[in-house]
Amino acid sequence: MNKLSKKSLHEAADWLIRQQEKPLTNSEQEQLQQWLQSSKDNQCAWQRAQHFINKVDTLPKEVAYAVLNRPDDATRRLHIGKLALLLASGPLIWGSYKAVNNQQWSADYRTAKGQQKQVTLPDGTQVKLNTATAFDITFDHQTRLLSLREGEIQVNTTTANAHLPTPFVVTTRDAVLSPLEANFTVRQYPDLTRLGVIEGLVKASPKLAQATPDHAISAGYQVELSRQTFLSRKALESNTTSWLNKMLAVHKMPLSQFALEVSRYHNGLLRVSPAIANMAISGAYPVQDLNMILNMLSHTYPIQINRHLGHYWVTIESA
Amino acid sequence: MPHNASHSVQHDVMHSLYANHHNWLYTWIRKRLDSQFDAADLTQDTFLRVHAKQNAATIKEPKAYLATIAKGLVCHFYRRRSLEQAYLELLATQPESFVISPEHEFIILQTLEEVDRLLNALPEQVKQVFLLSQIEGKKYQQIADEMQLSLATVKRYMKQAYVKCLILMGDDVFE
Repeated sequence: MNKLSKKSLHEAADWLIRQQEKPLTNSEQEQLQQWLQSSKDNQCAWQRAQHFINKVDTLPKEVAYAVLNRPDDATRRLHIGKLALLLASGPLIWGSYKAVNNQQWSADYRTAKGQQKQVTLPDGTQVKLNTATAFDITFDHQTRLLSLREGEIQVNTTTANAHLPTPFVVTTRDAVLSPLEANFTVRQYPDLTRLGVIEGLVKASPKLAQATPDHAISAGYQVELSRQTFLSRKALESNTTSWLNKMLAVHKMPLSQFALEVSRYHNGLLRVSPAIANMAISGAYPVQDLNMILNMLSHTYPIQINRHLGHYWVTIESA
Repeated sequence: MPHNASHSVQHDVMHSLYANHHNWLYTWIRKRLDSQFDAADLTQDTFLRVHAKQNAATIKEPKAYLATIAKGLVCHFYRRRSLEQAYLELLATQPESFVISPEHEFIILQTLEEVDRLLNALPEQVKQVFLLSQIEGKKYQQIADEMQLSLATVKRYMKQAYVKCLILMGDDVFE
């Protein structure tokens, strides 16, 4: 990256701060545009600022704060024995996936790992919960709020009492979603939220984005959002809705990711050898039947399935 | 590869630099690390950096110059290691539902390292304010209340953090 004038960088920082404080008014938006157009350095500075913000924003909150805020090295040396152990066990960490944490147990509606269920909310809205899912509802005279804590849901507000004046709103860790008589799916990933619209229209906005207006996502599209920005928008993918039919429908998904998807539905440990982690997997698989999935995989792809500990520990390796 | 005069001068200088300085530099680095393999790697890295800069012929005080580069690399090495360890330690305390794919993990570690390097240049309190705002997603007023600072100070710190990071992003010290 080239050297930019300090003045441009200072001004870019000022704009970031103004943006975070409160949503920019129309005239402020115009000022920002004018500032951008007034010099090439300003544009580069703004681009660098956005790049920086996005970078920080990709970090999962759970680890980023503690890691970046870790104590000085001197105090850490005391722990070195414990660390050696952790380092040795490192590669085992990935691939395991457990359904339920404390947050989920206290939620209003929840499913355990491998379970799916359908509920009707007090206003008539129908919600389907996928595996290991939890949400709360708060219905008052101002709003009908559904807060997704964990997992994946399908919400159908077309069945709700149409005369209710209060707006229906779904929030996740990352996004605020306002459906207009819609049928849609929402999934909370560790670091982003995915919205897929099956019918109707859903207005979506990242929780912390204050400058961008919300986007209306229409039927047949899906978007991914982080807390601050839209990450992608594309046509609805089969994987977004296939769980409604208890299927996992994937197209060229890396095997390691496929294993994580499967692990959402099953207890135990499913590990993929790093050598074949990127193998592209396609097809539709019944989510409930782990044995059938593994058999289908081993018949289609050059892989070998090894089961240990009475099927609780499965490793997938190159054949 | 064109084999012109300046190339062979560069080559000769590198050669004698390596021959004359490799041993003491290795010993110097070895004293600061607990593994001979890491020390050998960092010694090699030091020479690679000099080579990449193509300025070996103009170095006046080779010992001081090499030691400065090596010192930077050793600091970087420790910082990176403490970061990786903090990361692993933390992962172990997360609920198992918190899963990161290996590909994603690689990117996260890289990004953490980069952001860590930027934040390391900030005074402690400024860094705190920045983390609360950008990672924890707190509002400026909330941060002011929590840290018992005025709103104006929080904003001044945020600005200081942004400016410093944006400037540092421009010089790729480790690239």
